[in-house]
Amino acid sequence: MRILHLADVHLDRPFVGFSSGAGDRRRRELFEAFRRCLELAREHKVDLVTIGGDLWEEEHVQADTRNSVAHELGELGLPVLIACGNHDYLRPGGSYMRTIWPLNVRVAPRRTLTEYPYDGASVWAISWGGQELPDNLLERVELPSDGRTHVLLIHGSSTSAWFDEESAAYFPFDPAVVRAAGFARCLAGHIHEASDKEGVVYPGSPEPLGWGEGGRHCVALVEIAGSNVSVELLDVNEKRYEDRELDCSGCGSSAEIETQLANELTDQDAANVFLRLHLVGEVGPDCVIDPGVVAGQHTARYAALRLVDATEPILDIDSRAERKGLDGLLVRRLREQIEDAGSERDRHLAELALQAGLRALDGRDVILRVD
Amino acid sequence: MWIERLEIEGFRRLSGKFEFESTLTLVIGDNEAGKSSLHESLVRALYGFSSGERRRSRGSSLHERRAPWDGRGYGLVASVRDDEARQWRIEWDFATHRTRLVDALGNDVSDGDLPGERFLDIGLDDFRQVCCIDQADLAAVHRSPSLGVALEEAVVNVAGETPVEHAVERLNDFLRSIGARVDNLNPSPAGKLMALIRERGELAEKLRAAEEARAKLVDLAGELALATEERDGFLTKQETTRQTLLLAQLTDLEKRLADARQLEEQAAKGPTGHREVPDSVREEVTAARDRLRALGEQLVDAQKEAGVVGEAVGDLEKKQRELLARVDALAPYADIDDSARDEIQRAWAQLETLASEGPLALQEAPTRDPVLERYRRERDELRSLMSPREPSQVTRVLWISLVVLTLGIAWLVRMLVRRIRPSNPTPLEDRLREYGVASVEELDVRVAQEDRQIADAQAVAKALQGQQSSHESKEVELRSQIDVALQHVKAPTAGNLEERARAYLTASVRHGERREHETNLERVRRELEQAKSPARDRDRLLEEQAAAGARLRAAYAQLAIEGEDLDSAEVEFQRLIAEAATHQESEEQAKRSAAALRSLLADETLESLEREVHEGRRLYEEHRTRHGELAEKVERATGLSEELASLDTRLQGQIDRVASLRTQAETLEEETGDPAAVKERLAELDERIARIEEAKEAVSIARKSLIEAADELKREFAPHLNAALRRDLERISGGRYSEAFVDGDLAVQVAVPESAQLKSADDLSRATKDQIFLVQRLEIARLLAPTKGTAPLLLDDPFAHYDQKRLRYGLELIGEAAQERQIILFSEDPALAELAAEVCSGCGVIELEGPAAS
Repeated sequence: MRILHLADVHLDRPFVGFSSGAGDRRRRELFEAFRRCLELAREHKVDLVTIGGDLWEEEHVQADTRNSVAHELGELGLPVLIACGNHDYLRPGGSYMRTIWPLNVRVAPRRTLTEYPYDGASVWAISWGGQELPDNLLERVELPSDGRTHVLLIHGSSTSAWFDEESAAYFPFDPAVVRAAGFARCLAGHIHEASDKEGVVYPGSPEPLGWGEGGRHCVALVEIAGSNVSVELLDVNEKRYEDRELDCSGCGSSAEIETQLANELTDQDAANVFLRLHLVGEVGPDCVIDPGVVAGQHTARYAALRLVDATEPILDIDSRAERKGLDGLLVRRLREQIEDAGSERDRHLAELALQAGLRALDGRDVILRVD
Repeated sequence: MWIERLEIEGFRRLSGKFEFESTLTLVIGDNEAGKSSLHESLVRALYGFSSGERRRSRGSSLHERRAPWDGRGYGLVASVRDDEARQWRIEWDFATHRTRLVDALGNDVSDGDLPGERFLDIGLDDFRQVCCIDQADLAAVHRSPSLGVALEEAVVNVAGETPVEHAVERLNDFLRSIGARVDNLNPSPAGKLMALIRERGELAEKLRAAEEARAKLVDLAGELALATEERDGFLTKQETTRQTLLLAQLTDLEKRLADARQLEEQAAKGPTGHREVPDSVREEVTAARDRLRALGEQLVDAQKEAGVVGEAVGDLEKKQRELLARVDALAPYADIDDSARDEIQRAWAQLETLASEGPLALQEAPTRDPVLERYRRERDELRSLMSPREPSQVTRVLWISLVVLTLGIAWLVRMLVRRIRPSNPTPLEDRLREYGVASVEELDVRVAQEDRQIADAQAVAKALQGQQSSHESKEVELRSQIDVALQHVKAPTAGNLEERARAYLTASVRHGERREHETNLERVRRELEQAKSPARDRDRLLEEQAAAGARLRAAYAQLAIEGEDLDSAEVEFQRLIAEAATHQESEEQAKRSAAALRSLLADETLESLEREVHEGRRLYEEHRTRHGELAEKVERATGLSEELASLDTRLQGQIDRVASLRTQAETLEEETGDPAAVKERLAELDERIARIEEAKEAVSIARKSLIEAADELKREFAPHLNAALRRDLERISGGRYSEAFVDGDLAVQVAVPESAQLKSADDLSRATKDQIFLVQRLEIARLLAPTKGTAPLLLDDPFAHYDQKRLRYGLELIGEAAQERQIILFSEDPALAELAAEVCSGCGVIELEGPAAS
């Protein structure tokens, strides 16, 4: 028996930090990634497709998306088993209940771990129902001694996979408990980075969903032959997120920055890169950095290009602090505030105030950038 | 600003036009040439006269004293240029002390402010202190409150720096640009920040509404699912009912068809041939037969009853005979009056009772015991042997008892003693032994007992004698009563009373027996009469039976039925009746069938009914093929149509409800919009607002810091003046004075080289004071320039007390200052013009020619 396992597509999720329209584009790309997963199922002639939760986000999913998913799964024609996750939990009147599913699709019930026997193996699945999965769910499992291979389909956080504290809050479980219960393998969802450790398979999200989501993004091809279960992770993502820095020290004008930028933005596969570029260094006091303008034509080449202006203007603060005039006194006063700041925010505000005060004294047009 | 031209219509004795340079203009003239008037008219051009100057004192005011002497108009027109080189015209009519400010286009832009205040932002007093040197009363600049403020503000903006107000204003401009109010940093209603906040609020509201709509949608979807399930239930029930109805209708149609076919067949059957049985004959036969049958039944009963009572009649007749014999036998007693029988019987019974009791047996009186008789005689003797006392009767009894007891005990003791040892008897004892007793008391007891017995016997004998006497009188009374009774019933008188009474009682008993027999005889007679009645009935019935049989036979005969054997005739008759009934039944059946067929078919025909059956079967099979086997077996279709109609209505209602819910759900889902896009925009707005808020706070901090720094600097203007004095005083004083200090009140002190001590400038020589105060004014004017504008300096002969060397230094100083501002220098010294031209190229010179010139 061959299973294609995917999870965490997060269809229709919002993408904060993108320009208007980029979110819509990214959402379409997620659906395309979902289609690629199904295409892989066809290609590898699997017997079953399992979805380990968070197929979409309950509070954001659109009717058209739900219906499109149902349509695609219907077109696939293969048996599909869905275990809902914490983002697409199953509830009366919820999105899953409102969707008219084709006959080949089954959605695992909430509250009860249910066996779905297929030729060659049984898949046990349970859906999230808006609340935590039952405590000691796995400890209480008693698998029948029927000689079949049993596989667990669940949405939760295995201690074998990397996760942060937030991830760990969602049904953390020990792989050893899964094995002790008699499951040959756990097909899991929730962790967005693909992994196959200690019998727990996370395919990861088909596409990374933001900066900080590194690692592989796959579907898992699971081969069950008797009691032997083998797993192959197939990369499925097209896009990747990157964070970089560009040192703009010494630039006296936006034109110089643009030149620096042109030298930096030379990615051959820019269309697949979500790039967050941090501009750093000290620049001329009259150097105006408008990220939208500076990014210019590069924006179109990249999947997304976000410039973060972390440059600091050259305000000759040290020498001005020595002056006896108003600027000298202002610098000294605000430096004291910066040093005495009780919080990072206060310190940052005092630094900005220093920039603003000196720029105002200097008669500069731009006091601070807020756009 | 600087004064370009002055056209004086009349001021004191001065009039005419005067052109000035923007740098240095030297006004040369002798005494009374009008230098002071020109100097003052320049001041008045900017400030006019103050109210105090226009107030009369000692008959006139300063204002009046400055009026033209020759009656010309009291006024002037000054052409000035501001720091932006814009030209203005100041028109003064000092007579009315009215002024007009006209711009380059000729527009009157007067706003009530004095021109000097408008262009220089300082008052007349400060202008005169700082910008004017009056030859007459040269002194240090005095710090007035307004000048102090102006200096504080000015000192903050040292040369080359942007004024703090400008910087603050720039920050304020920035705050305005981001939509924050300058005064309290709140968002301006029409500003960018408010627009963003408003948009964020609208989006948040939109998102909240979308989330509410989504929550409603979930509820609605749940309701929709239930409604859909209910609708499907109705659908199933409807189809089940429909199929059941179709089946019931088909069954009904098939039955109707079968019935119709059967009716048609029955209607087609005709009646067969038969013998007529007239109704009259049938009725006659029926009546006769019924009568005969009834009689037969009655006869059976009568015969049975006659048989039963026949035996009883015999018994009754026998009993009658016996009773008659008994009555006859007792005929002699028929007339006995038995009314006294009971009385005589009771009296006789009492007599017999008395007789049975017999004569009372008198008991014999008991005989006395001879021993006791002897004792009675010897008692006293014996007692004398015993005791002399004579106790009372009671005491005696007690004593007797006591004695008896004692004696008994003594006797026992004695017997014991006797057994132990022989004793000798006493005389009493010997005597008692003769009586056979142990003591005298014993004899007394026995005597007493005997006395009581004899007394009792005597009392009984006396009672018996009384009773015997009563019996005898009662017997006499009863006999008399019997006798009277016998006489009353006229009983025979022969014999004694006993015989007569017995005879009467016997006769009255016989009389009673005879009367009982007569009563029984009468009862038997009635029973006998009654017992003989069935036989009479039976005979009557037999007669009626014969008549009825004849009548029946006659009736049968009318039907050609042999009536000899009535049973056979009856069979034949019944056969004829049944045959007739069958015939009639089949005829009526055919009619009914025809009618029923017509009713069944109504407007239809058998063929159309067959078509209906065919159609019904087709519909049923079609429904079953489409929906499966749903129909429930029912006998009748009654109510199914109504149920189906009700289901149709309810189903339609449910379909409408489902459709309505679905529409609502779709509408709600549309209303939820795209929350992801809204959230993205919200996040973007949050970020922008946060950046603006951050910038706002930073700028606020910057502004506050700038103002505080400026305030701090304001308090430090003296050092600026000190520095300037140190720089210029050393030069202008030829190196004599290099250290000078100005305090907060602008008082100047210099370090005297000889003593290195500080000395007030007021205490120095006139020339030195002139030098110090000139430098002080130049520096103050320089300090004020950035904030108050470049005011012209009007210096009336400041070098009067300078030597040549210092004069040159002074002119050089003025020449340098004239590069920054207009200086109009008044002097009597014509040579100064040449020197001024050396230190300041482009220096203008106005020569006033003296009084004649005016």
